[in-house]
Amino acid sequence: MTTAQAASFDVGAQATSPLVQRTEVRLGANVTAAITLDGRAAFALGDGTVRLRDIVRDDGKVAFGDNEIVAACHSGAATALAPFRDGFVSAGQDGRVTRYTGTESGVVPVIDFDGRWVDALAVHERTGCIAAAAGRQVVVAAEGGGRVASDAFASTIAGLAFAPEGRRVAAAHCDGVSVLSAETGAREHLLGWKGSHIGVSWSPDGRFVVSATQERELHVWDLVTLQDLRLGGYPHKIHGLNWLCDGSFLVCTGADVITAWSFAEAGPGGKPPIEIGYAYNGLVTAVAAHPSAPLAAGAYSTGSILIGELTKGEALVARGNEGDAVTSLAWTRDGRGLIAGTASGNAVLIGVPADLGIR
Amino acid sequence: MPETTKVPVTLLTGYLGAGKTTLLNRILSDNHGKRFAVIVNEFGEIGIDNDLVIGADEEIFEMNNGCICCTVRGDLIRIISGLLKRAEGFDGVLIETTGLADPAPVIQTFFVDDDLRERVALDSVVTMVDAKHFLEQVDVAHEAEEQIAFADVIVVNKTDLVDAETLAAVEAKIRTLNKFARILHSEKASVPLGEVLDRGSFDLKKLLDVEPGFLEEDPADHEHDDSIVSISLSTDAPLEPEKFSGWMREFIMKRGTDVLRSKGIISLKGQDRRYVFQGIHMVMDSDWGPQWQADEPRSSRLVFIGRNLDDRELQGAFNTCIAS
Repeated sequence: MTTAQAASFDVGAQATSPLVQRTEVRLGANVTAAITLDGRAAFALGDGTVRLRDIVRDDGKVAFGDNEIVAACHSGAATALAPFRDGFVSAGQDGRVTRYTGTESGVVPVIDFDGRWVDALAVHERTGCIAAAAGRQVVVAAEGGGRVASDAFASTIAGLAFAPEGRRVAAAHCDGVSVLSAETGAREHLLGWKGSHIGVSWSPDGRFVVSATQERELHVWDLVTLQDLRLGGYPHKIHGLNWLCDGSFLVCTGADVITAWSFAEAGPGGKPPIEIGYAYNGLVTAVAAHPSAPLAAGAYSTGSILIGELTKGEALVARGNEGDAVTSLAWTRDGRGLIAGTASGNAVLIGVPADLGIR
Repeated sequence: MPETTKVPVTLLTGYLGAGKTTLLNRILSDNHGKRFAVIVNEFGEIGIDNDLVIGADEEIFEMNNGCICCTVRGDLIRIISGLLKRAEGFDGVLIETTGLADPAPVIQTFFVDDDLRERVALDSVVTMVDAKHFLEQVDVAHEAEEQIAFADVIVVNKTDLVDAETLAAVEAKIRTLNKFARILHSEKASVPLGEVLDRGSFDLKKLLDVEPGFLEEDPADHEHDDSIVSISLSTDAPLEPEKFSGWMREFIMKRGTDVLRSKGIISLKGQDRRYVFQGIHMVMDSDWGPQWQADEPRSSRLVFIGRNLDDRELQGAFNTCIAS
């Protein structure tokens, strides 16, 4: 990062904002992923289960419902989780991709990689496609039951992302990102850049493909101008990439601040990122862009959770330095709640007023 | 962040047939109450007695950081990060490489990857040697030579199959390649586990002394130009910080490909604490060590294991770093 734009403050010394309300429950094991469904929170755990809790709103306060649904999805850790229709899709170290519909049928198998760990998962809800990768192969499952598999890649697929229209899938691997047809699994083109690419994301307008690399950089390909650029300066590998719904900002982990790159107009070239919420000693381990407002939540290795206002560059504290690293973060669909999962196995729910009024 | 205990990782190397799997099974079957995760070559033989065995598909890539010899194992980053996601936890990781593997990318992985550095620590490189076949293997196989050069502990196995004369020749050959590793003897890979596990060989805090070497070798007595040698440099005079760091930087930049391992305990002028470092090729790790005691000699010691190294030339360059 070239320019520090945000005022720095000590989270440890700062009281949690009275604007937010927080509640936590213990889950059985470390949280590997967290998502929200309609009125519910889902947490993927290191014990292979996915736990579902209702998010209850009463008298202006939010709380987890008492009833916990335990979906026994995997043996070994559950590695990835994505909202899908009325339920979710999960991937695990048992080589399986499973779907939970919330009905009697419970957990149903979607893809089986014969015991090979599934590390990458992406879904496209509108077309009903589910893409997953184990080792060097990508499989795309269509809603009607059709399956297509890619040819074997030269290296392991570390990340997957659907194009917004759902017909293409980007797959991150060594020396670049491949764009595959979701219908045939065939590689359409290669976005090449030397080094290991560990994650990938597609901008909501379909114009940019962004990968995270082993060398602590982002690599951006502009599919309109066919230019590519590197965004660097991170002290750590970037594991979380999240777009603001209108595509104007890409919010990232990997620094001791929440970083947000502006993708308005021609992209982030030549512009420093917005940096929010300097928390001493902590690294941002998870980010979540708000579903409608220019807000981004960031969680830290120290356990703090901050909510930042992108246009003002300021933040409020939603959880203090509790020493329990936050691994995952997601907004509720109405934007008035934030859920988080921690390394020690806590589920966190934060209630946010409609007008946050961060100044 | 509070300093949490890092999970120790032991790397088991050795040429084909040296007895790596036998040692691995000895470690696993010993009654130590520890739970190990075991990473083996995906296409290797099975027969490992453990409920957490993961097959690794050796995936080496070059870091894009301008450091030409910095290769790492992407598969290990993925597997160990995945193991750390599991709820049940484990006390250690054992990695068995193939007989033909270069240990450098494995070692470098633990020094350059952010996620692994936070959670795990490479403990030791343990190299198994087949006493009966080593002398033939080391002359023809580059890999056998490098596995010795990178080792912290060398287990000379199958000693029951050779006579005392052969065993002495095997040890002498090992010492020309690596003067500093600890050598153990075994039949059927039977060694006390405390000699191979939890050694802290890469822990700078434990780098209190660099052993001066076993055999003082004649530098002119090289068998061929690119053979691996161990070189130790020393001086009792304090070094000039700028000169020493400048020389080391330049030397590693130029010769890092040839330098397989390096370690040093350095007395810098005006410093009451030891400066300690270690490296694998161009990947260097350094820190301040404990204070020098009033009554101990402040001698600097530095060791290199590598190819095309001339100890007279190096000692000459090292001497220019002495503070005036």
